[in-house]
Amino acid sequence: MAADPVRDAEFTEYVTAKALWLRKVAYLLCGDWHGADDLVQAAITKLYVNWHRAVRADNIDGYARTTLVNTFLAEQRSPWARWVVLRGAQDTAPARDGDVEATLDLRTALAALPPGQRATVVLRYFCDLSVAEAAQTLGCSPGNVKSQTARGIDTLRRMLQTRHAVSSPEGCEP
Amino acid sequence: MTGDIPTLAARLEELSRAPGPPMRLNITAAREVGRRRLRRRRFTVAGASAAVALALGLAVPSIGPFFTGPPMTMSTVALSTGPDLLVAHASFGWLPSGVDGVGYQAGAHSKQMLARGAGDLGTRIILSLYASSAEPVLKSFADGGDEIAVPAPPVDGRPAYWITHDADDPLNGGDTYLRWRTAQGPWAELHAYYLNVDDPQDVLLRVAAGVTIGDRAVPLPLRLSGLPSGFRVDEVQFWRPPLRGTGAWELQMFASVGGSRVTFAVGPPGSAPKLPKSKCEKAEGLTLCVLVEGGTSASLDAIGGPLGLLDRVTLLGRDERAWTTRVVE
Repeated sequence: MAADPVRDAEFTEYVTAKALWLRKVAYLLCGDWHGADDLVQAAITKLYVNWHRAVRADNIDGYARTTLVNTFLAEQRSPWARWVVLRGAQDTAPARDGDVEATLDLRTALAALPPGQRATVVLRYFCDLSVAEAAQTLGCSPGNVKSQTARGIDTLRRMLQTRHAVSSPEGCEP
Repeated sequence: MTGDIPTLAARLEELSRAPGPPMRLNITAAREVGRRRLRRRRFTVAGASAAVALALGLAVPSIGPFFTGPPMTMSTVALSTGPDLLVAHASFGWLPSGVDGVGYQAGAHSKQMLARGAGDLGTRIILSLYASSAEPVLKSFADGGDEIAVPAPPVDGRPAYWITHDADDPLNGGDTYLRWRTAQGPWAELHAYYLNVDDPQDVLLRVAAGVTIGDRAVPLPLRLSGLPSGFRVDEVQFWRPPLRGTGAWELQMFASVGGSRVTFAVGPPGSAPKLPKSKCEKAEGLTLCVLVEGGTSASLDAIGGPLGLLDRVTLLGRDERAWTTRVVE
């Protein structure tokens, strides 16, 4: 199949503009930057294949995010990805102080969540999606999102030393 | 919305801004792979239509070449269906002191030969080959910027050039590409970063001069025999140095049998991964863990499941001269 210049130009422009945003979401899902880059690479390849659908979607960012999350969940079902996640979770960070330490604690806690719960927590709390939007992204019921979120938060709460800060859910806006 | 963890959204935002290495994104590759998938998808439809036409006794026109474009990179390492499990299509020669070893990854997730230093910021040198002797065309970088060729000194008398965003910076800000024609004809490419040397151009030219093209079976530290029917190795990841830990190397091998997924993890002290719920043993100074997941397999059950698999693995020790290329017997 010969290259479609219009498709290629649109795709390249979109991915160039959104790459860092996709990488941030992927990092929260994967827990390490190399895995995040691999995930984004796999997701944008699928996005290219389905670009005709993406450009017709009401929300192309939502389409890209759904592709990324579903690629992540599909990868988790392979033994290779499961191993990488396990290794990432075992990667103990050196002791640091203050906010950096808290951030690393959160990375470890997130990595301990099952992939589905992790995706739900990221979509709800980082991407600031509603229950219905998260359910649409994950292709499951709102009730499933609620239960996955509740279990994920419960696990995170047990693992984290919750500290006081101001909530500012702005991360998943590209 | 954050309910029981009022800081969660802010902390996720902070975590997403954690410092990381340069992004490795290749939009050109995404487009190329995507186009191949689309081509296969259309070919499948065309093939189905042709089958229907043949069934109906209709004439089917011959199908010409689907793609005639510039040469594509080919993997430098692959799983073999022959007696040698892992085959490299090229070899590094001289490598700088910041490199601790050469690793091989072959399977669905990556196919590459990677010379690495230890740690997250250790030297990385990735070797790629092009499938033909035709000179590759310049494309665009992951960020959409055009690739610019800057002439480099010849590699053993053969043409070479740097590929960069900026003609005034052949090293491309430390994310450096060197492309050259090999003695055997095909073009090759080095992609290097975290190259902490005083003279990176000289170092990469010397690395390029040491690269040789040719198939070579890669020895591994284990041998499997008496395996259940239907057993198939799907992916091999040999990391040297290991991704994490202090050992010299680590090996993961992913296989399938029936409906079961099998993971073998092998390493010397300091690098052997501990897989939860896996069965492990130590022999010849190495640790081996076997994990079986997924559905059941009658042939695997017949040999005793994970413990039976452990019995069918022979570890070959830390002396690499005793390793074998014939991993699966």
